[in-house]
Amino acid sequence: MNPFDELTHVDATAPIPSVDTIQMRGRAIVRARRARRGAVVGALAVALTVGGLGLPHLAGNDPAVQASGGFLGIAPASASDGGACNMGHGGWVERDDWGEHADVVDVASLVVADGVGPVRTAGVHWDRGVCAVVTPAAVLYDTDPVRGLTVWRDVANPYGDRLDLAPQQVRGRTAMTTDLDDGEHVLSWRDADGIRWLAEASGMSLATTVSVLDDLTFAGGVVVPSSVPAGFSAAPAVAPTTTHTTRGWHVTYGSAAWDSRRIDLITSRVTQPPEVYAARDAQGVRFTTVDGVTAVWTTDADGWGSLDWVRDGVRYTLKASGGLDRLRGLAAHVEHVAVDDPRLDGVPDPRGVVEKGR
Amino acid sequence: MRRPPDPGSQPLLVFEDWYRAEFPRVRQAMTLVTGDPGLAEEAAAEAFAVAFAHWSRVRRMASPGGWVHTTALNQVRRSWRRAVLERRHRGSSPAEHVPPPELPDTAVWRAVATLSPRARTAVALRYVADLTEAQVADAMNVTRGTVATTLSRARRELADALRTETTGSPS
Repeated sequence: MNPFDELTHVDATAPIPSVDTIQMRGRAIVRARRARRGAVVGALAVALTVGGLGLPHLAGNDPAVQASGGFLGIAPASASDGGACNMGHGGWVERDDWGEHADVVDVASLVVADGVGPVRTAGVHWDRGVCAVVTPAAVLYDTDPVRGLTVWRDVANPYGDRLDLAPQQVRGRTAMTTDLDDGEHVLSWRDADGIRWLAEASGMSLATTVSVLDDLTFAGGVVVPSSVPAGFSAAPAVAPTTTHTTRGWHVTYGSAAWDSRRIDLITSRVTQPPEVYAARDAQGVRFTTVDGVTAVWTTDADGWGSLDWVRDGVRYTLKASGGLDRLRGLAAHVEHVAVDDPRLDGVPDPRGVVEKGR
Repeated sequence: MRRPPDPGSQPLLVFEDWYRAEFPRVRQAMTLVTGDPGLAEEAAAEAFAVAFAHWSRVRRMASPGGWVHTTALNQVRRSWRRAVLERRHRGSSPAEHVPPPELPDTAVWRAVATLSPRARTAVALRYVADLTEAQVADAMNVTRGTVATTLSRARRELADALRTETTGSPS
C-alpha cells in the first residue's frame, strides 16, 4: 500500500468561504484588470492590489493563458534554492500571551478619533518563516513616476530548473533574466568571486535596470550612496535579522462589510520600511507623507486604500475607504496603547469572526 | 482517485459546483505545503477568485483542477516572496474567515510535515491534489525527473519515519 494514499482523503464537509465571497473577489480582479488596461503607462495612480496575477500554464490548457514565471524567491546562499524559504507557519497569539512579547507591547495601537467606532476585532498574528528575511544590499526608488530596484547579495539560485531564462550582460557578467507576471524584471548573476546576486526591478525597463545596476558601487555588502544614479533615492538600510518569527497587531473598526465605516490598522516592528515593497511592486504606488515621514499610498479599483509608514521603529498600515486625505487624517490619530487597554475588553480576535469579502 | 475530466466528453463546468467540490482539496493541499491553514485558505480563495475572473477560459481547460492548484501554489509563493509580514500589511481583499479545517493527526500526516518544503509540495500536489507528475512539474517549475526523484526520496523518508513511529527505532 502506498503510504500516501491516506493523504487523498479530504473532509468535504468542512466549512468553506461562501461562493458569493469568491465571486465578489473575482469581480474585483476583473475591475482591476480593466482599470489597469485603461491606465496610461507611467501614470501609476491606479492600484491593483488584487490584480496583476498571471494565469499559470499547464500543458494542454488554453495557450492564451500565459505562464506566471518560475522565479522561486529570495533565499540566503546557504539554502538549497530560492524556493527553500517560501514556506512558513502562522497563527493567532492567545490574548493572555500578548503581554509576554515585547514586540507586541511595542506596537499595540488604536485609532482614537471622533467618528471611529469601537474596536470590532483585535488580534496578534504570528508568522514563522523557514528562513529569516534576507536583507537587501540596495533599495532604490523614484517617486514620480514610481519605480524601484532592489538588490540582494549572496543568495541562492532563484530560478527553478525548467525556465525560459534569457542571458543579459550586467556589471561585466552574464546574468540570467526573467520577467514576473506583474511585469517586474529579475536578474541573477555571479560576480568574479562566485557570489550570486539578485536584482528585482519594478516600473522600469530592463535596459534602464541594467544601466542603473552598472552604475552602482557596493562596499561591505551595501550600496555606496554616492553611486546611486540621479533621480533615485536609496531607502534606509535594513539591519540584518536572524529572527524567523514576526508578530503583527491587527485591529478592525466598523462593520464586517467593507463599507465606509470599516477601518483596519496593522502594526508591527519594522522589518522592512514601505520603500522596500514600493521598490519591488511599484504598480499603483504613490508616495506621500504622514507627519513628515515618508508614507506609501495604494488604492484599488474600488477606491479602497492602504497607507503605510514607519515611525520610531514601528510599521503602520491603515486601510479604509475615502481617499488619501481621509487616511492621512486617521493616521494622525493612531496612538500607542497598552495590550490590556480597557477599550479592548471583550473585543474578539479575528478567529471565527465572519468577514465579508469585497 | 480523482482524474481530470476529459473536456471533450464532459459538459461545461458550473463554477459554483466546481468551487464547492474542489475548494476543500485545494485548501488541504496548500495546508500541507505551508503548514499554515490561514495562508492556505487565503491562497485557495484567491486562486478560485482568479478562476472566476477567467471562468470562460478556465472551464474549458483540460484540467481546471490542476490549474487552480497551480494558481494557489503561486499565491503561496507570492506571499512568502513578499516576506511574511508584508502579506499581512498589504493583503488584498480580506477573505471571509471560516474555521480552519481540522487536519488529521495521524502518523502519515505527522511524517509528511517533517519533509523538506520541496518534498512536501510535491507530495501535496501529487497525492492530495491528485495531479499527474507532469502537472506537478509544471506547477513547481521543475522537470518531471526532479518530481519523480523528489517523490521517490519522500516515499523512502516517509517509510523510515513511519517505521520509527511504529517500532520506536529507525530501520
